Amino acid sequence: MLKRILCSLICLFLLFSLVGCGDSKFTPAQKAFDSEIKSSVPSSDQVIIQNDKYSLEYDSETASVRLVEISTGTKWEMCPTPEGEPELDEYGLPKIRNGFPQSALEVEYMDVNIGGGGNGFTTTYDSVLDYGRIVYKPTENGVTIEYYFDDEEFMIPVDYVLNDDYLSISIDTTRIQENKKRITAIGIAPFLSSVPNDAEDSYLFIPSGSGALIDNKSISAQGITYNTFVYGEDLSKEKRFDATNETAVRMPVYGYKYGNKGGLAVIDNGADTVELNTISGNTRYEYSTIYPSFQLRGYTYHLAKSFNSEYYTNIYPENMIEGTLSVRFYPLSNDDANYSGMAKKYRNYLISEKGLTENTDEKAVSLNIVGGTQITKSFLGVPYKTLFAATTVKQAEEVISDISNTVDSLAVKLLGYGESGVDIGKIGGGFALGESLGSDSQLKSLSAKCSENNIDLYMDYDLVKFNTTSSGFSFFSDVVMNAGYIRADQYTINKATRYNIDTLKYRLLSPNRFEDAVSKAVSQNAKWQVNGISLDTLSMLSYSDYSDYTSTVAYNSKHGFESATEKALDQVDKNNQKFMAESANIYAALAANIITSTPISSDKGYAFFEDVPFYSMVFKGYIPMTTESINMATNDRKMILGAVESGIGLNYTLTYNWENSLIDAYTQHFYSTLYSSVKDDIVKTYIELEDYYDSIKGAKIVSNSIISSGVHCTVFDNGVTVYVNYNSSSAQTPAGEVGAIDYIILGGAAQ
Amino acid sequence: MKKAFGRLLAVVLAIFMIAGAVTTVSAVSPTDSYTYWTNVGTQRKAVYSKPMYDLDTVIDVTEFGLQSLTKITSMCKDENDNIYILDANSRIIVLDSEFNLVKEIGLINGTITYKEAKGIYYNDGIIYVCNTTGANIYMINIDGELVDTITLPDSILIPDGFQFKPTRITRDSSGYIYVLSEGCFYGALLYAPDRTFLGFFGSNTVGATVASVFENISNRLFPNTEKHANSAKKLPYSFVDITVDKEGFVYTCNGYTNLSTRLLKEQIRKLSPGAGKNLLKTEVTFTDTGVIHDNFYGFYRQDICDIDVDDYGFIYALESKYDKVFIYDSNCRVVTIFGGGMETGNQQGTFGQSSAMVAQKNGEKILIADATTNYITVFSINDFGKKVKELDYLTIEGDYDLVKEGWLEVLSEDANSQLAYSGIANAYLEEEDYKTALEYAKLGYDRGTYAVAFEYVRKDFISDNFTWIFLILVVVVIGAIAFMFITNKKKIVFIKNKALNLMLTTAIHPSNNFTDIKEKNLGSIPLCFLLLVLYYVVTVMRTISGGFLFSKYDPTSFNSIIVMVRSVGLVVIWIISNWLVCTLLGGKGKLKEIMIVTCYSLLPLIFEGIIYIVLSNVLLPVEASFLSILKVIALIYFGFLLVIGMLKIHDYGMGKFLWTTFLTVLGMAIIVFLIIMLIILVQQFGAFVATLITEISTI
Repeated sequence: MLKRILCSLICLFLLFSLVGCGDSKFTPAQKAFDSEIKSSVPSSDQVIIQNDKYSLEYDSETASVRLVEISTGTKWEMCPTPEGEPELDEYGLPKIRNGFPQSALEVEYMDVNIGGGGNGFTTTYDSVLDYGRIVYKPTENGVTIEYYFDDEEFMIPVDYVLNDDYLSISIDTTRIQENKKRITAIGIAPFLSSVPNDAEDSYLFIPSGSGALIDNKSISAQGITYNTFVYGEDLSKEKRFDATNETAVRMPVYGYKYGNKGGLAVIDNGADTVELNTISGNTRYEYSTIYPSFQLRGYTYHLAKSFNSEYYTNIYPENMIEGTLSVRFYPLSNDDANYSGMAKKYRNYLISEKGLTENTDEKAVSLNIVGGTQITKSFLGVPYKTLFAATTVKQAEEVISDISNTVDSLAVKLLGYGESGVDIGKIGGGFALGESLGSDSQLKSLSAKCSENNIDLYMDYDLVKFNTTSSGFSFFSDVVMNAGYIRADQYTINKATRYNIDTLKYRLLSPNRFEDAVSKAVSQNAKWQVNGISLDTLSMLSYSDYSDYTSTVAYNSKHGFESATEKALDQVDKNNQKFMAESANIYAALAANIITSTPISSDKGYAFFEDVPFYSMVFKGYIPMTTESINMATNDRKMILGAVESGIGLNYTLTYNWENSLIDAYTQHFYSTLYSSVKDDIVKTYIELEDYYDSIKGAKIVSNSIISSGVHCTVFDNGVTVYVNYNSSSAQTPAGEVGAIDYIILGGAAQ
Repeated sequence: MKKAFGRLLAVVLAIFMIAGAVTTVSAVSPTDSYTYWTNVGTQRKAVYSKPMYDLDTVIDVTEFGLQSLTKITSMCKDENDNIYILDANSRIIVLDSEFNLVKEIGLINGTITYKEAKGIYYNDGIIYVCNTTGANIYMINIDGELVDTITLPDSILIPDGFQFKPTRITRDSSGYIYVLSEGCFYGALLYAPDRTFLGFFGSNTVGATVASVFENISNRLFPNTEKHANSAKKLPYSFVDITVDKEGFVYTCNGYTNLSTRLLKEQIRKLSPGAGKNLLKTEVTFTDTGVIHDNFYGFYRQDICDIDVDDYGFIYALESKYDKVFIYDSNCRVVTIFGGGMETGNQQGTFGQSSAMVAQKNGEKILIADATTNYITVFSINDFGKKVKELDYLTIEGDYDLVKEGWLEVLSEDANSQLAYSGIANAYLEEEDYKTALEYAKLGYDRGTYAVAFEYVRKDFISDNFTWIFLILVVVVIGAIAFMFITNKKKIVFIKNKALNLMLTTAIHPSNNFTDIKEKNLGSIPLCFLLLVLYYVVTVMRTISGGFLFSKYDPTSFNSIIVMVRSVGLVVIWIISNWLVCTLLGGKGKLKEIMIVTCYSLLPLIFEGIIYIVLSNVLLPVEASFLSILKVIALIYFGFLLVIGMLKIHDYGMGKFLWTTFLTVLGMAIIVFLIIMLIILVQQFGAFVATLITEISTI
């Protein structure tokens, strides 16, 4: 018998060992590099195609294109040329310009032969114009230019198409050719949205958080670079600490203003893979610029350990993403050549392409009522976790009833009412109420009372982060894997050191399971008779997933995350439930009935010189919005000014109970949220702004402008105008003096 | 001179009124504010708190039409809060208190460079520039004209080979000058007002631990080249910054401390005049302890690079590895911590390499220079921060009657403010509302205030109930005496179970009882287990049910399983080890007897534990000596019982008993070692199995 068992074990061991020797199902999707094809390219500049307004021209010097407004001759060049006489060097010859601004593409690639990480970098200027080949293929409305990087042995085909009022630049990744060197990222038209350094009345626009303007003053040979991922950092990447809090880019757009002309670029395909790069004040390039870099292959950092050292290395998947990556470039001029014009253009794009519709059901106040958090108690000295009821359902009812006596239009989110409270636990909080928070019948009663009083009630579910198997979602097989094919473990960070706390591990739900998760949340909501669903984490986070090794195409470099989320969110509407999104990425925002934690400031990169309310300018009048929690802000008054400037509602986070074990809480929901302390502030601020909110209900923002640094003016389409002064000293405006940290309203009942 | 400066200031102000720095519209922050709660458990706790400082502005000198700074090495302020910025490229930028450009000072006298100068200081119209590489300190006026130079004094007090690389300079109100020299571990060079060199002042010392003492002895007994080389590293840390408060006390800080330092203490010191002794609490750990930043390349500990002190005694420390500002009050309690970037910061309010700090306007504005961006970030105190600092100062000054309402307001904004709980407790104490004071002191873990309030509450309780207490005591004493008298006289035996009786009387008649255990087999194993359980429960309860003033019980860090290992586990290992040793060395005791003797000997410790639990809820810390004495007596008595018991059951003489006891302890160490090895082995096997499962599941 023993012999049999032993033999069986050995057989099993051998079987498992041999599994790794079989053929994998992996099939590289890329086409092989064609080293034979000859260059075929016009020898001089020529018009490719033109319509009523614009003409698309080929720039033979840089193998790029330019857009020309026929009526004025204004040019929007992919590779800009400095105006005026060329600068001369010490020998009286024209200075040799840096090659980067003369490049149609910037390419990053992985080359195992390169030491120190294997990452290479090139441009069409460096590798194609002189040392490569170019194939020019006219198409119906434009041209396809194939850039052959002969040294690196890859080819990138770029389609340039002229439409009514925009230029479309796109790359079909399935047509990319490569050999041993693997492309990891392509920066498209790096200087199409650029402005000369030190040019007056000029800036770059980045939709970081609320939106921000970037300075173009000359700084140094390096300038200031600021790179950020659209929809936020890829969470699947391994990391050991989180140095700072990032305010993510929520909209896949960028733009620039250069005197009377400008441009807005909308990334309409593959936005989730994009890293927005900005270079400001670089004296070698002579231009400040913003451009998208599509990450064709995602990656993870991995801490590699050897005998006596450890170092980080990047791990990439074999395949690149599949599909078309495209950017629409809208030229802007005159009155539209500013961030207000960009907001208008982008809003129109969303209306025509994404079905954005008006929604005037705006809320003056939204409340996040926090249910509970896990605290440590002990029984005879043996520690155990238990749910501390920060606000029971009954107490929530009392709070809502109390506030609704004053506030007419109210939306309420019940946050952390699952089994683990606001802490990470089961997916969707176990789709059940935490025991100490109340009963299902109490929740039904609360929901009914909210309906009676026309208060929108939303129950929040965390469908992204979880740390245990439950409700059919496995902690082992339904979780995200990173590019190293390792489960992408996440950690709560230490408050002081911001390093991972190894004992507080959680994982991310695979996008493949989003539909199931949303479906469960929707059905649980229906059981509770709650009409609104809030999905904070799903609406603001994004990440890759490489768990399907046979196809590293799906969710590689976050590609597909957007569509997976959109598909999952469809169920909310289909089930006639309302959807509340927090600080939402565009795809979640478009599905939302209300957005809370609407960003009112940017990520504050060093080159940013002014925050602008671009996010609110796009959505005001279309999607109701409220601010981030005012009582949790660094400066609550500035947050209120942000609400006034953007015309959005106020948001507060509330708890009902406090005890000193909450000092151990890993979230910041508890120190300044006690209802008894915050109530008066809510009422006072609401009364202060009540008339203003009435006067701008459903109104759209026509324009927002900067009077001086920190002094802004917003004009609504019904004529209401508001001047806001964020500075600590009073400021002069056309409407008169605005006090420090104050505002003036013109028009409407609030004047 | 001052008039000229004033006129210049006015002109420049007018010119640059419009020009300015980057203004920020900040409602949210890229970093979090936190503080540390102390006295909660055995370790302080980082706790999120409401921010007290907002990002105000970022100063870029190119906005003034100046060339970008090369590398900001130091900053200082004058009595009007004008700011002096030292660039590593022989340049000083002077800004007024509102951050408008006053002037740019280039080469001294138009010719003298001071590249890589690391320190700047302003006093009484003179700017002191620490010309580090030039080994001197230039004293210049606001027009950049050289007034005087300080060099290394020619003194027998200066050690041979001393390299003078001045990095910081300060001057107290009496005119004494303190100079820090790079790499100097003797302390600050002290000059009299007439510039006579007086010697070194306030050097750090090398901390010694038990391990280091043993290591030193070992190194001396068995020296070799490697050990000799290592010993050279154990020099005291040199100061990296020095400042003087309004009362003339000198504050210093250590900079980078290496990984071998287990306990970081006294990184910031307030030195007494003359002796240079540290006047701050020596048990306080400044900044974040035990933090390691791998930064992809290496490992760092915290590094305080700059300190400042305001007129109210608040200490501002800039930690340059994590790029954070730590603010402490004069009692070394953390007021707030903010900033960040961890050397990767690219957002305003975060830093790539924070290099210098100035606390302007008594800490209302804090300026941080970044040596990578060469911007200066200004943080402004907000209303909440102002309130907290003002209340904290008043509380420290003892003006408790002024602070109660304020602290209650602070609590309404930040329920995590330990300072507020403590302040409110003190205020209630002042109002003689001792019960409320107790409540708030307990909430804020302020044991000092709790003790004072408790004394009054206890006094009131005793005076209110004296008659009852006295009567109960009299009844209990008389009852006890009567009980003993009657039971002795009538020979009444209440406990008829022989084994139980034997166990309970072992403490009174150890010799007889242990003889009975050996010879008459009267010991009881179930009672042994009962005693073990009792011992464990009492050990746990003395922590979790001990009085608030005596026990630092924190459910998040206390684990009774570990207590069991440390209490019952040790007893069990002792029993096993003793049995193994004594079996080999001719001991006559059986395993059962060893267990019975050991467990019965625990009785004094159990009784002491029960008494401790009761009394620690009644006594004050000043009365704690009684509990300490009781503990010592219990331990001695336990030892006494164990010795008697072991001698009896093994039939050893004292010499052999001591020898076997030594071997038993050695055996215990070996058993512990083997258990740890086994645990590690099991853990590694578990990890191997987990990895195997992962690999298989991902195929």
